[in-house]
Amino acid sequence: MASLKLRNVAKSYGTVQVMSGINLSIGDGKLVVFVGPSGCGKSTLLRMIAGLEEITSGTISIGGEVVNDVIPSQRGVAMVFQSYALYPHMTVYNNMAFALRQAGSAQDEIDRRVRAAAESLQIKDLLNRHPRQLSGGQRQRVAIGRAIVREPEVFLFDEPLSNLDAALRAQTRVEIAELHARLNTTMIYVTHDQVEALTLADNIVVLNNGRVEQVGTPMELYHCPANKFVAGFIGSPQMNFFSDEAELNRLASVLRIELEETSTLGVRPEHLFLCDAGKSFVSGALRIVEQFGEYDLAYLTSKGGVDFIAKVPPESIRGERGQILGFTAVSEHVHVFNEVGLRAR
Amino acid sequence: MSRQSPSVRAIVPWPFRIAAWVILFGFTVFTICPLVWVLYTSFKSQSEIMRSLIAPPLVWTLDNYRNAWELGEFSGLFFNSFLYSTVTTVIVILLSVSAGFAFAKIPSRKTRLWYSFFLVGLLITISSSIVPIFVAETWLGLDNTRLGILIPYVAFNISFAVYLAVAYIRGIHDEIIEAAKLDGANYLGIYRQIILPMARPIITTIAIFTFHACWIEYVLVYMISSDSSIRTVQVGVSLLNGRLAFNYGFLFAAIVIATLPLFILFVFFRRHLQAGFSMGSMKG
Amino acid sequence: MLLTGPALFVYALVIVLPVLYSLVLSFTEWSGVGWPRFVGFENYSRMLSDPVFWHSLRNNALIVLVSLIGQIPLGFFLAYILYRRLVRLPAFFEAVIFFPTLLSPVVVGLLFAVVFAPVGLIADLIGKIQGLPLFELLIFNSKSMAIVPYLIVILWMYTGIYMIIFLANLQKIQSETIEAAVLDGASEWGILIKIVMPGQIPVFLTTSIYAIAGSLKGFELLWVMTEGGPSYYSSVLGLYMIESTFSYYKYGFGSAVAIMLILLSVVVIVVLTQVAERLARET
Repeated sequence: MASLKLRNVAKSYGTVQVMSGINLSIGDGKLVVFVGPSGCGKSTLLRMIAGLEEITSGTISIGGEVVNDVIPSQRGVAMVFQSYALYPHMTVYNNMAFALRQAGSAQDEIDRRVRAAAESLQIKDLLNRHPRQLSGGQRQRVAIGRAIVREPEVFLFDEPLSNLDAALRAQTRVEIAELHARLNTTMIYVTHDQVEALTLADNIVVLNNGRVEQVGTPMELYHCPANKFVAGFIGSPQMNFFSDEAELNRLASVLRIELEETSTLGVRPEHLFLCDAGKSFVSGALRIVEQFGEYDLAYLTSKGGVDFIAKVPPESIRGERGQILGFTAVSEHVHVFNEVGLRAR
Repeated sequence: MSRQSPSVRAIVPWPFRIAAWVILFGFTVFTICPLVWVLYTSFKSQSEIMRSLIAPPLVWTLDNYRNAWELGEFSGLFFNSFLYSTVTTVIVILLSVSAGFAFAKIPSRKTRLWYSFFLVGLLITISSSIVPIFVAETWLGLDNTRLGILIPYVAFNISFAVYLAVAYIRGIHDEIIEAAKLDGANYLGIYRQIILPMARPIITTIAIFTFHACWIEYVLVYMISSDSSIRTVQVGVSLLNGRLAFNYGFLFAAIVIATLPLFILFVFFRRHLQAGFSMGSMKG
Repeated sequence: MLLTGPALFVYALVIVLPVLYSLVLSFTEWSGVGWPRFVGFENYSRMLSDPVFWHSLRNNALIVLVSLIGQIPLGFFLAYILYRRLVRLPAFFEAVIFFPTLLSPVVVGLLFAVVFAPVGLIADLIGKIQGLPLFELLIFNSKSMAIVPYLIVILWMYTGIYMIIFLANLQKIQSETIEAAVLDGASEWGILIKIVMPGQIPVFLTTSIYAIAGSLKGFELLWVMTEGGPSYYSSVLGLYMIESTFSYYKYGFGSAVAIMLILLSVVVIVVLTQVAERLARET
């Protein structure tokens, strides 16, 4: 087990800088999720920690030791790849034993560790099979098993669930959480799915365009997003944003807060509730209602032409298409961002 | 290779149907008839052949085969053909898979340049550069030696083999190589323990293709072998023709003997040969 | 470098060096003994004024033509028939049509020399049909027709390669595409022309390049079948090169032909590839 520190890490291909000024400190035994849209650099960052990608400047240290010039296999990290990257010509057993054999471990030690890992992942019966004979979920377990066998200081997961179907994804997500609870090893987990981030992480690192937007616990990010990007990225359905001048004035007066002309207001759909049109701070024409059973989603367009979503109790809206509905929210649920998108309140 | 054809039927206009049958059967007849003709003529006596070239034999005889094998010194020819084809194949595989790994998975501007340098070799064959080769070999004293045959065989088959290897190894997921790196394997280890076993299908294709190309090669051996002891089956057969003009039974027996190994290759490895040919057209 | 080195070394030694050596020799007169004498471009100008060179080039062009209007379209059509399973036993036909491509050129050359000989198989057949037992086939006596038997043989022998190439490419088409066309009411002809063919244009281009390059490179079959004869009637550039070099030990002149041949194939391919790429980008 080890803590992990990134200081001023940057990466450029030729003259194109793809990552800059990355400073992170990951505590021992924590599960940290890197999340962001595709192309934000989260996988690159993970691969730089693994040593698969060179860093242009800065330092990476694992367990207090700078590993910039340490080759990948000596860094004490194990990685679960998006494609699983199982060796197709080897049995499950040999896949899991490969790293230990490279390190020259004794045969009985290899055998003990492989069997223990297989036992804990319930893949004991698959040890003599080849990867092509396994289902997607089984391959995923083998990939995790291959990482566990090495008893690494840090586990790295690169979008490990993206090749699984929805049901299996939810199940495996829970298993990874349990694995972390059991092993209590530092884990870094890369995903583009904010649900995985919210449910798994001790800490979330939100990345965008090669920069860290915010670091915090899932609830910090949910309740106090540092900027408009994080606010929009975390939470589903997405936060509603209002920046139309006429509406802003009305909102300001209803909420009794000072607003600049260039501000943007954000309210999550689950924080909007129906009220009389007169008392509402935002109203809109109903476009469609989606029913989910436990709640409904109402899709509306405001007078200013802004589309927004409200999450309302089931069957609470019986209106027709085009009907005008009013909504309000308590003021602590209203986020205010300034002209450059930073949190103002 | 996935071999899926949509089986759903559409209306087939009649001119289309007729054209399809005529062309398909034309090719089939044109292929099977000459082969059958060669086969039965090789069992015919010379006097019967003189009477009619096309009639099937009244008396079936093995004399043609006995004579062809002995007069043609086929045991020596076969030995040489097998020797050149096998040795070339082994060397080409060793060289091409390692080079293919480097070109496909260790990218740098330098390797890319070397690779295109290699691909130029696809445009040149032994036949089209036989004059330079011949002149160079006589200058180096390699003419009329087995080495003088083997070296060009390796060189002229390497481009295509490298091309096939690169195309295949490129398809191996980068993450597998990265996983091996994380597991502690160095480049040599990755090559031996990951790439070589995973490249088995393409190695078979390269092997079959190279063996076939060497087996049917004619011009080089013909030009540089003044000594009959280093000649191959192809050259042996072609020389029989000159020596025993118009003894067709004899000639056809030799043709059958010379074609038998190719037929075996065809029966057992047709898919690999086809894969090689179809990949070959997508070069560049 | 450790991995690519050995392959590069052999390649450079055997292919690049001799070509450079020939390039030097092509500017000289040399009979194989003594020192070569520098003659500048004389070999090249002599070659370009030699009628045999031009007749051989013409025969090469005919071979290309057979590929472009024969082998490639037929190969595509055959591939389409097999791909759509319009006949029973497609695997059988695929194998039969592919088989000749594997045969050795020497064997095929010998075989068809007998078939087209003055008193060969075809003469025998025609004689039997017409009742003329002494019928002789004299196609080789015509300067312009002497190459025709060879053209027939390569049409038969190598169409299979193009069929295999097209078949591999056709099998990449999503079967849903064809199914959608059938549901839209397209006939087999419509599917071929409107759905399948447009997607195969790049393949037509690459196979054309492949055919043009191939026509300059191989001549074993012809060598064994006709030796370029009678006289030079059925010669091609490759045979012209061999004849010029080895019949009279004129290594300088032969080298000039060899360089011409290599230059032609490389230049033709490079130019065609560029053209094809531009065409492919526009369509």
